[in-house]
Amino acid sequence: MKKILIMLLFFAGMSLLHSCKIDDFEAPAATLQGTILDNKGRNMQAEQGQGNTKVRLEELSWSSAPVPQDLNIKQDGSYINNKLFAGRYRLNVIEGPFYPTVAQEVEINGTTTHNFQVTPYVDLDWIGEPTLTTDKKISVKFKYVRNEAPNGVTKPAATDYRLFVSTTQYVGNNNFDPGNSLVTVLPAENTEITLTTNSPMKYSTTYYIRVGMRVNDTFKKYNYTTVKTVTVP
Amino acid sequence: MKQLKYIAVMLLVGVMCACNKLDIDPVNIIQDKDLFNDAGMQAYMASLYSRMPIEDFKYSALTGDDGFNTWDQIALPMLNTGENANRNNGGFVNPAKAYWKNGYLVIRYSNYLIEQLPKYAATLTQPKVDRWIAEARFIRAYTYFALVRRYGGVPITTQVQSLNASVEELQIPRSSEQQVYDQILSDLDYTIANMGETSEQKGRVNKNIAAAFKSRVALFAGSKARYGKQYIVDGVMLNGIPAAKANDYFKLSYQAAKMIEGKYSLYKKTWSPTDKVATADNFASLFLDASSPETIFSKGYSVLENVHSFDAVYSPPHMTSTYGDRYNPTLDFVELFDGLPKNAKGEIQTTKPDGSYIVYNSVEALFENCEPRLRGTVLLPGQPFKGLRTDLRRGTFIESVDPAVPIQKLVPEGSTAAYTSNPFYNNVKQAGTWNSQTPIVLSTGQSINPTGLDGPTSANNATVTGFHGRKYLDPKMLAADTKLHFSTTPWIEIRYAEILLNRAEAALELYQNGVSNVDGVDLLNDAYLQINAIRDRAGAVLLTSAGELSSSAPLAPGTGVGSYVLAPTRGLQIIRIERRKELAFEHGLWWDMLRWRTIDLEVNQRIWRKLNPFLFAKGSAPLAPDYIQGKYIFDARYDERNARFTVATKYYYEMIPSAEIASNPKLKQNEQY
Repeated sequence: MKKILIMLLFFAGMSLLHSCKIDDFEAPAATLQGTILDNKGRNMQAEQGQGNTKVRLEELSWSSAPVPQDLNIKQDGSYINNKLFAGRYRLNVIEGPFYPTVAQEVEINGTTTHNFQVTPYVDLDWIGEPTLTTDKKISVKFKYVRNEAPNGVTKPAATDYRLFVSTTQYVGNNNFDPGNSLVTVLPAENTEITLTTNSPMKYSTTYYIRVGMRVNDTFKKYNYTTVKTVTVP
Repeated sequence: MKQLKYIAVMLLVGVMCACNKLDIDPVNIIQDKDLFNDAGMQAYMASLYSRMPIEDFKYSALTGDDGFNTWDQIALPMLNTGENANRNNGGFVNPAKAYWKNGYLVIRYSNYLIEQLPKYAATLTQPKVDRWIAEARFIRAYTYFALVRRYGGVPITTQVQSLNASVEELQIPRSSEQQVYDQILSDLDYTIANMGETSEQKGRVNKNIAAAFKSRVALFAGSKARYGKQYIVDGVMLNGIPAAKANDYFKLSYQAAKMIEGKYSLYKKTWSPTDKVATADNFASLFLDASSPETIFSKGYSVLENVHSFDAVYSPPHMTSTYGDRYNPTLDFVELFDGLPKNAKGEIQTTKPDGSYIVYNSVEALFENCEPRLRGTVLLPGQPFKGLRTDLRRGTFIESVDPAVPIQKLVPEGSTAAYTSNPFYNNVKQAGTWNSQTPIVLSTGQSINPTGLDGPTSANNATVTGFHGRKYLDPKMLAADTKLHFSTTPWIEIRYAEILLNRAEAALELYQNGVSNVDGVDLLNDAYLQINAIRDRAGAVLLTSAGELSSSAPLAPGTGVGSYVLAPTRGLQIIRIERRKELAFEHGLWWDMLRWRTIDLEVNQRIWRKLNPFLFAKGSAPLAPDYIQGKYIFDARYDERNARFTVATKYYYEMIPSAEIASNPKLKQNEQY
């Protein structure tokens, strides 16, 4: 009986010790950072996170058919990740409000900066500063221009625009007061468009506002103006 | 040790004694000789029909075998379309359940009949063989239709695949979407040509049912051709159909719908041109009356063999013994109906021009003159049902608030802000759960619940929209008897109203695309007549002339009743709104919005709207536990959960199950997966 017990203990010990190997693989420490730039060299305005567009990474030095990992971006179109394994990656920005781009291969080592060049579907620009009307509504002026499609791609029709109003700086299609409804009738390009909020704004509050417009493509994400603030006294 | 020797010998003897040739048929499997006779065929058909992918009361986006055969219907695709909402789902519900393997099982069983039956023509007689082959082809067509609308083009197999075939032979690539539709239509044409007008048994197919189904299939094919997006891999159009084919399919749909004219009729047993409540009850009864002349194809249930739980899961909470409250039609849907006060945006108007609420003298007053079909589809505040009344009230103003003093809108129009952001809301008593409330004691000594027994509560349960549904609920099932696994209301898979709407839509699609008549019938006028037939039965406002079905631009969102329903022309917008009102909660609108390819634009960061009734405690009196007489205001607002719904374009087609691609590398995946 004792013998059997000892033998069993021996086997149990063997199987436990069997996997004792030191995992000394180095922790990921490479940094990838950069900005999504539009065709005029400005930061592409987006939403915080992956809602508007995302950076897709495929680590080619690890596998020839890698599982893609997607990075969040910031609202101003920049992104950073400082916990990546050094190596060769295929990078692209996907599912955003711009004409599809071609993936590029990049060697990531130490701190690597990689900017993406995209052609947004629509360029939106403020005209002047937002104003507060006498009945405390926010009024803004903007214009838009739709960019031409690259060869072999069709230019999707613009579908609607909206004035996004929020009390936090992360204003956008992920964070807004829906009271200011969608406008689906589009005026001509390059004309001055005025938008006013539906209801009066609350006293002593700072509002963050931007205008977004989207087109009827696969993903229906918004192109935005920059964020401006209006303080109601 | 000696013993061991004996045991070995015994064992050997034991082994040898079974040396007989084993060629008897297995007795636990039913043999072909038992199958191919009248009784055997009835059993085989019962098994085939029960496996048909009918999206009935046992269909779910959450559980079950590939989404079928489950009691749990809490998540359904109709949560994405703006018909229904419930407290469990605050965002897009993906209905993809990888329905594939069981579909091909049904197809294989059908193919087996089609292949084997002719061999038994001598014993079974030729007419029976022809009829059963036609029936098997209908079931095969029905199953392919379930596959094609999920995946686009799928592998077509019309023969029983042999067990001895090489793996290579068994792997079939996907056909184009058009080829699958053509295969379905040819099966249906065969069924129509080889069956009589009466079914062999209740619930089984006949010529007219096949024609009705054909009008649905061809309408889908036509819409996919006209509005779909093409996706071509290796020269095969896996998604989409060439646009030039659109009119051909719409014509087939129109002709199939026209073929069964006069065979069925709209249900009007208790319809009345003057009594709106009778007309509403008539609309509700059509889903419950087993002898309805409108029912074309239905699926039955019985207590012992096959039950569902629709009444338990979908009844208002105080009208069921368990579950309940998952049937919450949105205000967006309710606003489509006639007979309600509305503003220029097409939304319900419950305030005066100065922005203060209109005070109503009873909870029913707002909906007094509504379109009867709305009352037949939705349980409105105060509506009698199951011997009880729907008790809908978000909260109660305390007695010091006088109804005669105007109350300004509690939160700004179009805001998602909480009511508590308004200090005046401190005058409201409310409850978080419907069944444990602290009553308000009135100065008369009577006490009332601050919130209705059917919600909506401050914690967003009981109802999240301020309404409950009525369609298909059994009014004879008392609250205490409403339990899980006790419902047997038949599911109506095809009814004549759908066929008339198919006919009107196909006719107008043709008319607005260069075909003015088919077989000598003026299409515009025909579409007009069908829509008015539907509206007349519903008690809705009729179209004044065929000219209303115009090809001018549709109403832009926010500019009128139903303007959020997207369509290429005003005429088609009217037809699509009518379809939504008539066929809501019948599990079809999701597929319609996919074939129109409008759902990604229409349901994009969408928040459903809600209607909250508030009672004034001052002057109120409880007449029953679930009915308080008193003055009410109604607040229309966005969903208080701030739940947003978005349907991405990838969901126009489902993902081919990855296990299927692993076992058949010839299958190509759909776009965006």
